[in-house]
Amino acid sequence: MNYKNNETICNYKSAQLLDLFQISSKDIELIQSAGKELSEHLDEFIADFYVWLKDTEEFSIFFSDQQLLQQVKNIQKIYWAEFLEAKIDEKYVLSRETVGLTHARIGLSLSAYFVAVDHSLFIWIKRILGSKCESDLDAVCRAFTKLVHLDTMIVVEAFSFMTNKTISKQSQALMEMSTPVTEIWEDILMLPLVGIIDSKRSQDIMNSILSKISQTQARICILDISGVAVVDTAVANHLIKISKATRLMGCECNFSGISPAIAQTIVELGIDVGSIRTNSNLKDALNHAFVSQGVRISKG
Amino acid sequence: MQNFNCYIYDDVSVSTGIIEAREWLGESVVDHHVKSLLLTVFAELAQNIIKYANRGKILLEMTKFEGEECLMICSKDHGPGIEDIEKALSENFSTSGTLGLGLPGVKRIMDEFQIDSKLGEGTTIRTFKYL
Ligand SMILES: Nc1ncnc2c1ncn2[C@@H]1O[C@H](COP(=O)(O)OP(=O)(O)OP(=O)(O)O)[C@@H](O)[C@H]1O
Ligand SMILES: [Mg+2]
Repeated sequence: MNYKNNETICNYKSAQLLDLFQISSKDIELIQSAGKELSEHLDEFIADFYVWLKDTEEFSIFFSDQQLLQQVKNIQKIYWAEFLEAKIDEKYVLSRETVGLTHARIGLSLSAYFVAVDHSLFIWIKRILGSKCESDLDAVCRAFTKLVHLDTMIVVEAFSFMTNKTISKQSQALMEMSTPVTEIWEDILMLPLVGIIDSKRSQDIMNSILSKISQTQARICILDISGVAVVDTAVANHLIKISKATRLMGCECNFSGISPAIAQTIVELGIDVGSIRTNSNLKDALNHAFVSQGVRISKG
Repeated sequence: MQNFNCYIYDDVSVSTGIIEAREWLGESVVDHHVKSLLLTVFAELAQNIIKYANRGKILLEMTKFEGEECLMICSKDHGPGIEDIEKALSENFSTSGTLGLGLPGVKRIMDEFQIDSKLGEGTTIRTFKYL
């Protein structure tokens, strides 16, 4: 799935993130100076990590391909090298976003990611405590922990960005499937409405009806609303607008499927349906359409 | 389940809220007509939260009002509050150019209707329907 380059994925700039996690320049220095020694042992870190990962369920699902595994190890090495350099700028944020987007795309769960982050942190802290580093080791551990969590937050933001994108794509797809305006007879269009009608959806409905009218020059359009989940003032307002717009194009809009419940709701809401043609069921609406278009149907 | 608490913060949350409320009512309210009216009330209150207060919540609860079994639908937000409650409850009054039938409709559908709104603090609307 693509996303536009100018779309914000993570809602925070690098400076805000440092602020949020209260990572001071002192913390950065601590990470960088410990990082000098630790970065010489990156390969060992990766090896340690994979000893652990090999026994997890995710490993067999995602890393059975040797070539892919090597690629991932290389990426991970770069990731931690960046971490130990601790140069927290927009480029740094971007590289963490990529991790989140990738995980979301391949379907690696956030839970699996959290567990892996926890284990990475465990390995690093063990190594810090065993290092010859001269700084205050508690302070180094705390600085490491903060930066690991900052990374995690960006990954989570990117992950949910991707998830939301997927959801909106899916609902868009559903929406497009659910506004099938069809010409059921010469000059007669029909559209069954089902589910929940929000303002975005009613705009889609309006668009597809109007373009179908201009394509077919239809004179009557039947909207069956028996499957609409809730009729409220907003929905009623949209339906009234749709019927006004179709009329301007020379097409009469006829609402069918007004159930007793819908009728009662409309009355209780005090909505003026004055000039709108309605029918309790589709059969009557069709009958009216045929009569007004001079269509005669006879049996046999 | 004795109550249903629904957070409203965007269009999608209104739609999913309606679906969840319908499910919740399914267990408690039998009458199909009444259920459809109650969902309309839910939708109106949720719509108003989005339009005027950005975010808020709606609570559905089986409870007693003056000793009688009823369903409460309560909406709560920390938005701008309603300037003139009497006007807001009158038909065709709207500050957003829509029909202005939501609140008066809700009042008509429900058996009891209480509104508590302070400018700059928010709005709480408590409504009850006897079952
Ligand atoms: N939660 C709220 N916070 C602040 N103001 C509100 C709130 N709910 C309603 N109002 C005010 O009360 C007025 C009337 O509300 P009502 O729901 O009756 O009509 P509407 O929302 O304008 O239009 P409609 O509901 O018919 O689409 C609104 O225009 C708005 O000014
Ligand atoms: Mg309203």
